[in-house]
Amino acid sequence: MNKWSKSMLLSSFVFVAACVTINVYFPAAEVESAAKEFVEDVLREDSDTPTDDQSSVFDEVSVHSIAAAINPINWFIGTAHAQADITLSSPAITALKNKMIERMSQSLRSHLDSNVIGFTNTGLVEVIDASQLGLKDRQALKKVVADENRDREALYREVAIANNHPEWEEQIRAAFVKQWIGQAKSGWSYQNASGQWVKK
Amino acid sequence: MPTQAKKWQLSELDIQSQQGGVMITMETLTYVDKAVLNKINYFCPDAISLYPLHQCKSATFSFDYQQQNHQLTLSTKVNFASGDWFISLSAFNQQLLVEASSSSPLLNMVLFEFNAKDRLSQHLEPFGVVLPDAKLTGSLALDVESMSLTSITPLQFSGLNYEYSDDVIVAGLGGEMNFTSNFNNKALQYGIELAQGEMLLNELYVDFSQYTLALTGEIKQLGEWYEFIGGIENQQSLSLEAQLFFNDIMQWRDLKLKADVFDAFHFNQNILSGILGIYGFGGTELSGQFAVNAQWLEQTLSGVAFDFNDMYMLNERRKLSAESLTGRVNWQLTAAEQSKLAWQSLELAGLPVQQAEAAFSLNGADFLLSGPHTFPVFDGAIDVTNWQMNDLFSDAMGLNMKASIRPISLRLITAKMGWPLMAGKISGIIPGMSMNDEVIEFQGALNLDVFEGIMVVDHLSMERLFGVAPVIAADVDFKGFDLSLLTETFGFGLITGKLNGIINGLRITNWKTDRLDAEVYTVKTKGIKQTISQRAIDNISSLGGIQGAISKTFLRFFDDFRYSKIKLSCKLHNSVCEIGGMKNTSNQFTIVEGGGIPNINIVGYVRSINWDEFISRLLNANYEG
Repeated sequence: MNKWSKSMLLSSFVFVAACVTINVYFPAAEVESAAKEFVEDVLREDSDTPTDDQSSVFDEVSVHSIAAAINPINWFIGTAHAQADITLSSPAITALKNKMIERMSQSLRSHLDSNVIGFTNTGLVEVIDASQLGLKDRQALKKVVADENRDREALYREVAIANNHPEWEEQIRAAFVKQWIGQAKSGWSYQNASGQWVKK
Repeated sequence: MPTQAKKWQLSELDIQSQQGGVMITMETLTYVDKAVLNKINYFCPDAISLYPLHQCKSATFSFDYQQQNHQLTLSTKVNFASGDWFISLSAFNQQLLVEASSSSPLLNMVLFEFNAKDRLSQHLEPFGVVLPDAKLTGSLALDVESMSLTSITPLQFSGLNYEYSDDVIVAGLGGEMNFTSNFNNKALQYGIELAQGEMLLNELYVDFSQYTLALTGEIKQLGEWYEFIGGIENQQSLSLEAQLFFNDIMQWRDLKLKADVFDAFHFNQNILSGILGIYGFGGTELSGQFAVNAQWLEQTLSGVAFDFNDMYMLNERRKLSAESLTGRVNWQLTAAEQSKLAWQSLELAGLPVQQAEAAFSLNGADFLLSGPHTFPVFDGAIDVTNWQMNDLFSDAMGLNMKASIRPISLRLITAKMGWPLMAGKISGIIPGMSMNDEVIEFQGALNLDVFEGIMVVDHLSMERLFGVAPVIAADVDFKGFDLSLLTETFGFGLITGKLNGIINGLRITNWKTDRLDAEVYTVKTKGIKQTISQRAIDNISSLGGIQGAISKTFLRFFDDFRYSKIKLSCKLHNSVCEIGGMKNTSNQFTIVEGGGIPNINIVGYVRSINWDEFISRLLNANYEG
């Protein structure tokens, strides 16, 4: 191998190494705290579904925005922080969240309490043991679980997109997995990392 | 033969004839070392002879079998000299009555609420015999010579339970059945009326008390294979026929299914709606008739044909509907058969298609539209010259389409969307598409002619179109919109001039605008006047919350004003529109720059505004000034 090709090889390693170091910053802590809040809202037992979620979202944000708008310095700081300010409040996300809150209080919670369903390690819900239910209820449960999982899949994707990083979907899902399991009530079932069902 | 003689072995036989009756006891009776009966006791209470003629009306017979004591009541008549005999046996509190005689090869059985599983499973299941967990009432005849078992009166059954898994289970089945079976020829014929109980078969749930079924079937042996021909019928909505070939070890080969749903409304209410709900299409309304013909060869699905006859379908949530859908969708694994559908009207994810028909072929994983088609949409049409799809059942479906839009009135589209009525027409070329998972992406831009200008819709994609929170995303660029046409449409107050604009990152979720980064501005054009009416100024001002900005001042004496530029931008995120125009500062921006005398500028001071509020002000601007 001549000098030239050696140096080419070396420089290509340097190039590859340089490429690897270019990483998109994933705000893990921010995503986790946003996911934490979201899951808290869904699992909260006395939660009433907000009837007019859009306006409440607006109030919160607009107060912030107007306050920021008054002071140009705040405004600039606000923009600088925007990258890490994980948002979970686009109209699509809010609509999904409200459906999930409603479903949780209407049926999922009681099924979680009786260990009929549990949280999977992929951020979904799954039927573990439906033997206590009548046959018609088992079919109804399949629908509820399928509905919830469709909403959850859409949620993880919409959160990634609302934050301008569709490629974060899997990391966002992982943050939610941690929260669903972390905030599960004791006695509820969840799937551990190796796929086994365990009771909390 | 000595070996034959050894099959039955008994020990400690004792026969006693007493005043109180005749007693025969045996300590053990074995059959080929397998079935062992212990403590066998036969007692006839009458003091009667044993030989040559024994007759007893209510003898008791008891024995131990597998540590359990069993008692039977017998009525016997045996002539040992002539070899004639008659036995009537009653067991399990008269749940089972068996009659046999030497004059007939028939063994008659009368069952009364007899549960074969309760009574016999522990004896027969070790031999691989599966007994139904059900109460049976009726009479059967077993022909010992021809080895056939036949129902004499309908065999009524109730409380039939069988569980294969949590997902495959029947419970409380009840009804009646007639059957004849032959163990030698391995033939079976049956007719069952199912009127009670329920069944779960994965996603399928049936409540038989609501949806009564009549099942018929016949099994015949044809060489090493058995042929099963069966039917399932519901008087109101379903007629299904099946033909299946299987062998001794229950491996199946070919299957043909033909299901006729002659009342789709009834079938949907009782059967289909529950399944559709699981797949996210709950609340679908159906009526009309359809049929499904499916065929499996060597366990492989080789063809499915759906025939629709005057079908009506509606799912409001998914914006899907069909009226008078008639025709055949014929999927074949290898051969390319023609399919053809015709309809009175269709709605696909909100897109309404009027009366038309489509001819196509569905072959393996390929779809091909047969020749050019025209699908009328409102007062225009979509002309499809070529439409091809590959890898239909994979996540990355290939989609090739060449199509164009013949002018469609915006007024009709906007009315349908519930938006303010707009004038003008759209037309253009639809580029190719690709589909990946649930995302449909248009390759290349969609060019539309709108408001006498050009609108280019680029990076158009649709996600979960028929699913949860459907998304339409695009980048839009338009040039040369005739502002007078546009403002006229919105009833906004006349503005003349030409408008250009860019809407980047437009994302419509759940049919509502979720995000965008938009900027619209006027462009000076030779020969085009740039004027803005008093009403339009009032309305633009109202965007900033000011009512009657001009009409309340002396300027109201002017009908319209000249302007040099209008510019408005909105960056929508989280329901909040960050609004701007020209000369943006942190708390101020200019929307309209005047150009003449009197010189009118419109300056905005609120840079954040709720989107819904913004839209409602924009669209409801034509209030009294």
